Amino acid sequence: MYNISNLVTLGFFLFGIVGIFWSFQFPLKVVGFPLAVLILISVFSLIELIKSYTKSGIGSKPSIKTIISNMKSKSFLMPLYMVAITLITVFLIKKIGFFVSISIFLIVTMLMLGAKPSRTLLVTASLVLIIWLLFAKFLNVPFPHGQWLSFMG
Amino acid sequence: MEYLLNVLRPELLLAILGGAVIGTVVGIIPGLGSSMAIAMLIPITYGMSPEMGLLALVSIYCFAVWGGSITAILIGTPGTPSSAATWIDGYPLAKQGKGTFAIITSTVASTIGGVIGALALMLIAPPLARVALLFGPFEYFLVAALGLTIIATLASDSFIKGFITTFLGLFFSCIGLFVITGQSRYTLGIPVLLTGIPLIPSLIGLFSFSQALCLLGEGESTVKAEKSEDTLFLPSVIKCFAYMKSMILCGFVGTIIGILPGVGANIASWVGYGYSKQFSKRSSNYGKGEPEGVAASESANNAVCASSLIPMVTLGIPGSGTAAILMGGLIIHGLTPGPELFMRHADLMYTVMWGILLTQLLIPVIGYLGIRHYSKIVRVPNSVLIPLIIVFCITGTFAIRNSYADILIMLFFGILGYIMRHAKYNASPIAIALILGNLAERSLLLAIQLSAGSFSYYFSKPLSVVLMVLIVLSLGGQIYLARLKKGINLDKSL
Repeated sequence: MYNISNLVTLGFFLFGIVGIFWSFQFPLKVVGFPLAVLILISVFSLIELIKSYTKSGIGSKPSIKTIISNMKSKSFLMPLYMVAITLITVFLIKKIGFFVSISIFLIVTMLMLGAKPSRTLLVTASLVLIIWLLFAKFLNVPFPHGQWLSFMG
Repeated sequence: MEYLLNVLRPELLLAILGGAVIGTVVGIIPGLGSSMAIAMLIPITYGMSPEMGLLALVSIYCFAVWGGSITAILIGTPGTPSSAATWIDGYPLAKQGKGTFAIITSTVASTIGGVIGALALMLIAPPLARVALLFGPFEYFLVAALGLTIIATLASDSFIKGFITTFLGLFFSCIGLFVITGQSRYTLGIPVLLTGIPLIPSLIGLFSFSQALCLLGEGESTVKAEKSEDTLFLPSVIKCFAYMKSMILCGFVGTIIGILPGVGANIASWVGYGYSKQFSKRSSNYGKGEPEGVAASESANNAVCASSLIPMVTLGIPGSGTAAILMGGLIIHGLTPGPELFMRHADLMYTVMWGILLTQLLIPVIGYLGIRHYSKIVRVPNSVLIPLIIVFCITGTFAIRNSYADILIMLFFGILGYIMRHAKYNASPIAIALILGNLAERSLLLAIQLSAGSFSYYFSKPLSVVLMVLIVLSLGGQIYLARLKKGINLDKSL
């Protein structure tokens, strides 16, 4: 019962229910279509949950220990780390500028994933150069220079 | 002829060639796909002319589908899901030392299938667009409902899961200002959401960022390509003509499947392979390294590339997840997909269609030039690939509107896409519903107003009745196709 698919379906079901109550804040004329959609999300999620429960039965329930050990696995933690590093990078873009922060991101993540330092530096330098040429020069994207480095003009 | 000369302009040829190289690399690297690459590279096309941008994206699509077969043949891992059927006979051929010949067979078949699909696009799209001009609001709603029904039933293993993601996408499309009164809905007080969920950042998140996160769980790639004996290109091409009948048959099969919204190249390759096996004199060799099997699946899946654009350019209905992303590429250039595309931008459309035909003819050229180097591309390590994809996702998303909020939206959809992939939910219905949601809601509300409470209005036009019947039939048809796919998979596993 506690597999990822069922948890996600349960999430969609709860999302649908919360959404239905949320819709009551708006006039029915404005939210008629999305309200119908939210009801359908809830109904279909419930059907999927019931179907999955009746298919797998009670006997296939994994222990809490298995769930915790799965959560400690590399395949679960690595995406979490990557999302966290990406969020920090997005925050840093404002502070230290676009090119400095993506350079740091590339170095940190490539080393974290086991790339050789020489390859890391080479790829970082090449990629930053390509992005600068393609986006800053060719597409004229105004990349932020960063608040902390604003003294550099 | 004027449009053909138009395509031969150096900048358009460069766009096609650039797309071809990127598409081939993306197709060859296992785990990447055309959807991911197109979503990631749409922002780059922003600075190009609409025809240049579109041709670059379509070229990536076609070459990624073909490139996927190279990996399926050389290392036994399909580079893209649409090449899974190619693996059945391609990999045994590579093990016998005939990998190069299998790649050449795949190249010729992809070209034949691609040309059939491109010709179908050129012949069918303009008259269909004229018919689509007769559509009223209710017909548009029905067309959107038809597209969504098909994609919901086919995109996931479970029908119910498909419908859940479709409705989720429809809900996301409702966020922002209400189309009729302009009142804000579900925005959580976030100003950037007033204009709705931005399409390109959400597509980049769903298809590219989530893909990078999935690659993290796979670890470092340790694949090794099978060694092939030296094979001359031209004599091998001539040898491939022995499978011409199968290539043409599967080209037509792929074209028909491509026109149906939501079916796509993955299913086309299996259906093409199944048909070819059924009608072939060499059917007993299938699965043991029969080049005809490679030819069948590759012809079918490449025919889909062009034909899946037919519902998009004529009705504004994306036929697949990749077509939905391509539709985002059209929108970013200020073009509204649908019948008016042929009315207002006929020059552009005909140039693009000739460009697509030219793209197919370029497959053997790229195939010939790169034949000795493909096995090297497979070795790009994940430790380089993953950060590279994420940086392109961030940069591309920021480049569209110079907005940090867009990057956060991209991350949200990336995480959602990643969780959904793990839970065996397909992200394509969300993308398509996100695009069609506004059209469906606006058309339905207009139709309700026009009906003035009369139920007979909905059955007054023969076109509406035909579309309603098609929705019912498509549900039945999709069940049959899904069973056929399951049956072939079962055969394979046996």
